[in-house]
Amino acid sequence: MRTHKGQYSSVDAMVGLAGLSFVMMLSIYLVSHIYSDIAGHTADEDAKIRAFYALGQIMSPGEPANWHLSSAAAVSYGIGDGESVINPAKLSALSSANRTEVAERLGIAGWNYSLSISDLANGSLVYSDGANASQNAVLVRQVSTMNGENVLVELTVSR
Amino acid sequence: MKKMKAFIFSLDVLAALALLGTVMIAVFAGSSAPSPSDSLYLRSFGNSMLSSFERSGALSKGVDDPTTLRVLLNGLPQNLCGEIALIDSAGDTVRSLRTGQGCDTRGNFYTSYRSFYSNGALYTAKAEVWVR
Repeated sequence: MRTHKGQYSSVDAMVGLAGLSFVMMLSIYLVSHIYSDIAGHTADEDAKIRAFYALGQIMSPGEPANWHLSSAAAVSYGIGDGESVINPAKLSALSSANRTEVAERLGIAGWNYSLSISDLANGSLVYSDGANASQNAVLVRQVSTMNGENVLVELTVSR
Repeated sequence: MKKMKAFIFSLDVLAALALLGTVMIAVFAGSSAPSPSDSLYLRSFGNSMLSSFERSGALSKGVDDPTTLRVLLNGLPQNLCGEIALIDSAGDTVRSLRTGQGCDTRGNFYTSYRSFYSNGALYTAKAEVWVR
């Protein structure tokens, strides 16, 4: 009788242990999944937010508003001339400005960035500056106008 | 007594499994929720789109002839869908245009408004933008 009881008990224990190890493995998997998700999500969110605000700054008039006419470094680099209007002269000045300094002013110091502008109606490239970024790059876009035409402005930011 | 013990054990298991299931659903469903930066980005994109279309005169022209507006909408990035409605001062929609294929199902969309004049009459443009 004792032998029987012991046998039942060990089967119970084995089933219980198997169940416990299954739940533990599942828990470890879930925790690691949540952790990597949060870590990846935070890094991704950081890049997205940085890119978003950098593009907002690029689309602004910059500071001073006539920074492209001055030989001194700009406080803020922007190619806008009012709401949704790109000033081609500022765009030209931006392309010849020091990229490291521009990145610092845009809040993306140490990041790679590229800026491109294409015609929204036919997709033709109007302007492109900077090498294409890596696979983990974040791309943000805005619609604007340049010389009266609607254009798509794309900023790519990556580590 | 044995039956009772087994009954209590199975209730425990049921409760634990239900909890585990809830956690799993929360983990896997949570990953598809839109992030704050995505909503910020889509709102900003919709605003810039309407503002630019107004500047270029596309909204004004769109009241009589939607061709330009349609071309511009179709020029939006592949991963974005957009819909524009032009509404007159009486609240009637005079034009409604949407980007092409693959945009029938909407996820989280963001709405922007902008008023403009066309032939001396006041209109409102309503844009909705969502990820394809």
